[in-house]
Parts: sequence; C-alpha cells; structure tokens
Amino acid sequence: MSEKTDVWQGTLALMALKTLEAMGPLHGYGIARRIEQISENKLSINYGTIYPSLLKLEQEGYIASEWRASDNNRRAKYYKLTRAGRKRLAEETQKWETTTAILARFLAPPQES
Amino acid sequence: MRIRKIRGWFVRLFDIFHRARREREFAEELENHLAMHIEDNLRAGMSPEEARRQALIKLGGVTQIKELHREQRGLPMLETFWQDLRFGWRTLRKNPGFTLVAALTLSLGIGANTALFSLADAVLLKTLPVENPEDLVLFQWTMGPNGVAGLIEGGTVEKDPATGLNRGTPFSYPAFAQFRAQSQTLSAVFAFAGVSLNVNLDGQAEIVSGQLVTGDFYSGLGVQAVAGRMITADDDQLAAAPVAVISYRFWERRFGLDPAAIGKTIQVNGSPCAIIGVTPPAFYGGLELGAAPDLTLPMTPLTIGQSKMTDAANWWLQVMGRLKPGVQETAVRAELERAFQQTAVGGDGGGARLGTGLVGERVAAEMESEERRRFGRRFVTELARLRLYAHHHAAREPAVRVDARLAGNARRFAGGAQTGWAAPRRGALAPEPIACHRADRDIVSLAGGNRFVCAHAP
Repeated sequence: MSEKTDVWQGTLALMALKTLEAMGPLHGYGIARRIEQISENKLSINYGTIYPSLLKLEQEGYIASEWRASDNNRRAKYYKLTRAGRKRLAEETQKWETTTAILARFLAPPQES
Repeated sequence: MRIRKIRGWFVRLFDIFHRARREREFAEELENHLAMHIEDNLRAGMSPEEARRQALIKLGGVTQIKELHREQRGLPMLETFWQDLRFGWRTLRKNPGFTLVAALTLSLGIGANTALFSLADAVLLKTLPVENPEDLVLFQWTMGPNGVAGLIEGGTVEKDPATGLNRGTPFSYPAFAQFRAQSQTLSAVFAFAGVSLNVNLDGQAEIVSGQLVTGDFYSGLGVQAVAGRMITADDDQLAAAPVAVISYRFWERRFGLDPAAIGKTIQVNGSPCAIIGVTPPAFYGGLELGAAPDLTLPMTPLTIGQSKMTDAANWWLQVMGRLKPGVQETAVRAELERAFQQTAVGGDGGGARLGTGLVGERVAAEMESEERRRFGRRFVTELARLRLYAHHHAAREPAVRVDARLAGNARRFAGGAQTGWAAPRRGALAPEPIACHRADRDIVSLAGGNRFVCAHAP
C-alpha cells in the first residue's frame, strides 16, 4: 500500500514542478488548482495532499519558498523552482518521454515492412 | 539524486528545533489556502456556507493533512522517542516500587524478542471512550468439537488450546432477542455486526466500512452524539424510517464538518437513508476489533432482512450487555443459559454453553490468539497476564494518565491505512485521531492509572 502512495507522491511532485516551471512562483492552492485544471478535471485530488509533496520537494532543494504579502493584508507562501529543480524536471521529462516512446512502439499495431 | 535525499534528511533533522514555528507556519498556510479557495467560490456565485463547505471538502481532512505534514517534517520517530524517554524517566523516579515492575517487564519484553501485535493498543484505546467499560460484558459460547452451531457469519470463533473447546462470539438474532427480553441482570443488551456498505452521496459512490446495531447500542455504551442524535430503540421498529449514524471521521471527510449533513439523505446499498447524527471523534465508530466503521445503521427487517431476524440457525451478530450495579457476570450466565439453549439449533444448544467475558478480558484473550495466529511465536504469557491486569485496573481509573513510550510505530495500526488512535501525549486525556499507514511490529502496551509500562522492542 505504501508503494502505491509513493508512486503517487512522486507523480504529484513532478506535476507540481512542471506547474511551477510553466506558471512561475505560485502558492500551494494555486499549484493544486492548476494541476486539476491541466488534467482537464480528469484528476480529482484532495488539495491538501499537495502540501506534504511540496514540503518534501523543498527539503530536497528542488523548490524554495518565501512568504509574500498578498492582497488584504494576508501573507501567502509562494514556491519557486530552483536550478536543481529545473534540472530534475528536465531529467524526469526526458525519462518519461523515452518510456512513452518505447511503449508506443510495443503497443502500436504490427507493421508490415 | 542521492545527495538531494541526504539534504532532505538534514533539513528534517534541523527542523526538529523549529517545530513550533513550522507548525504555526503551516497552519497559516492552510488558512490562507482555505481563504483563497473560499474567495474563488464566492466569486463563482456560491453562498458563504456553501463556499466554505466546498473548500473544506476539497482540501480533505484537515487533521489528516496536518498529520501527514508533521510526519514529513522533523524525524517523528526520533523526536517522540526522546520525549517519552525523558518523560518516562521522570515518572519512574517518582515511583520507585513501580520502577521495579516496569524494569522487569521491560526486560521480559525485550529479552523475549517477541513482536506483539498492536491490537493491544487499539483495543485499550478503543475501550476508553465509552462509559464504564469495566461493566460491559461480551457474550460468547463454548462448544465441544462435536457441537453443531449453525451458519456462522460473523464474530470470531477460535479453539481454546487449554480445553480443546471452541469458543465463539456470534449469536443468532432470536437468541439476542431472548437475552434482551429476559435479562434482569443487565441494564442494557445490544448487538452489533460489521458490514461493508455501498454509499452514494451527491453522486459520489464509495464502499465504506459499516455496521448494524440494535437500538440500545449507543445508550448502552454511553456514547453521546456530537451532532444530531444517536440510534435509539425506536429506530428498530419496522415502520421506522431508515436512518444512519456517521463517524466523526466520515463527517470530516465527506462533509467538511458541515452541520447540514444531519438530515441529509444518502443512498446506502441502493436505498435512501437519512443521516441523523455523528459520533464523537474519540469514539472510533464500532466495537469489533480492528474495525472503524464510518456508517452505522439500525437492525430492522429492511436493513437485515426478515429471515435473519427469525432464523435461529444463522449466527452472525455479537452481543454485549451492561452489568447492573453490583451484579457479577456469572449471574448473567446463570440467568440466560437456558434461553440460549432453547433458541440454539435443535433446542439443545447444539452442545454449546453460554458464557460471558468482561470486555477487557475477552479482548486480551482475542489478542493472544490473534498474536499466536499471526506470528506463530512464543509470547510471554506472564506479560500478557500482567497486561490484562493493567487493563482491568486502568478501566476503573476515572482519569487516564498515560505514560508510555510513544514510538512513532506505536501509533500505527495493523491492517493497512486506517485511522488509528495515538495514545495521548503526556498530560492530554483524550486520544487524538491520526492517519495511519502500514502495519508495524513494534508495540507499546500501556495502561493508565497504575502507570504500567510495557515496551516490546522488535
């Protein structure tokens, strides 16, 4: 059961990194919302689960956080990608594309040459 | 990538020193999250209550999130172990007599190197949030190897190695009805059975762990509703409208603690049902070992079927009673044995004899057989007996002060991801709900009152 959670946490972390790359610095709420949006609401996640993922990413140095004053005198914690984060994202994207390409070849209908 | 992981661990180590601040910061972060979400909802046209409700639901259980976050911070195992070590030491110094017992027990536990099941904790903790648990008895029967019971569909049955007899807890509905009708020694008699339910709420379906109970279940246990009302004897009647009680956890998870949940109609296994109340957070929901039911229904011909109510050969529910003041449980046995014999298969009990066990003892016995079954290892009988003693006495203490080594593992609950209950931190009186993950083999067996510490190292 914990492996399944780990895989999911990893995927969520990746999506968070990608969101930050695309949108620039963003707070947890924004990231979670955006992830759901991009998946065209095919993914329905509990927003709260993003926070442990973000924390882990921050602990490992892939993202950095800072408090910013938002409107109505509130402060929100914004996350941004670090250089290590960008690198990791690029690596994972590459891995993903390679995997998908290989699999596509397997799953494609047989071709007569 | 490894270096990233190492960096992660270092950050967590240093975070131990900033725990309070991190906790506050995260609480603030969550507040902001909700505020922003609510604003968006308001802008989308929702009413303020709806906006807040939807935001809470979408967030997920706040307690759970905070717990997950907490576990990701710091090094939970290390921190709590250190805390408890210091606390334990202070307590021991104040009670020298107790120190001797505890030391002996510890060495017995560690020396024997047994991996005992955390069922102990679960059960001990679970018997706390009901009124006077020491007055509760669980009905059971014993039967020889040639006995005939009937169709057994629930409860537990095991062979007692000492006597070779089978011992079981499930009864038929007619038997229960007789117990309830005839007993003078018990102030309340009630039955329960676990069941899996298909629940559909606002178009979202899920399978939940549930249970069926009879009218006196909640009043017999002494559980008060934290919202709405609990199931009562009136709900047992044939003409009664179908109702359901939900657990606090379920209320938080599916409704975001919205009071409008009371009165809401949900579909249970295809039939409509009205939610009438919520149990308090400290009451995890049910009484079967290892179960944490989210939804509780009354037993009516509609919910269990007419045949189950009249079939004496179908043994599927467990029965509990509350002793009247001054009554011994042996009196219960004497009083109801004949009724049991008459309803049981063939009118001669099928060779079964009625028994009752004080919930504490019964539970200890189930624990032992469960442990034996799961780990097949020799366990320390002396330890088990001492534990039983402690539990028995702990239940009588009005305020439970818990001294224990709270290894992070001790809060885990076997059986996969379920909500478990952490023994309270020192000074706290009520167990706190937490999210649990995998089964762990460490156990801390604990009892309040007489300050008894058993630690079983893996």
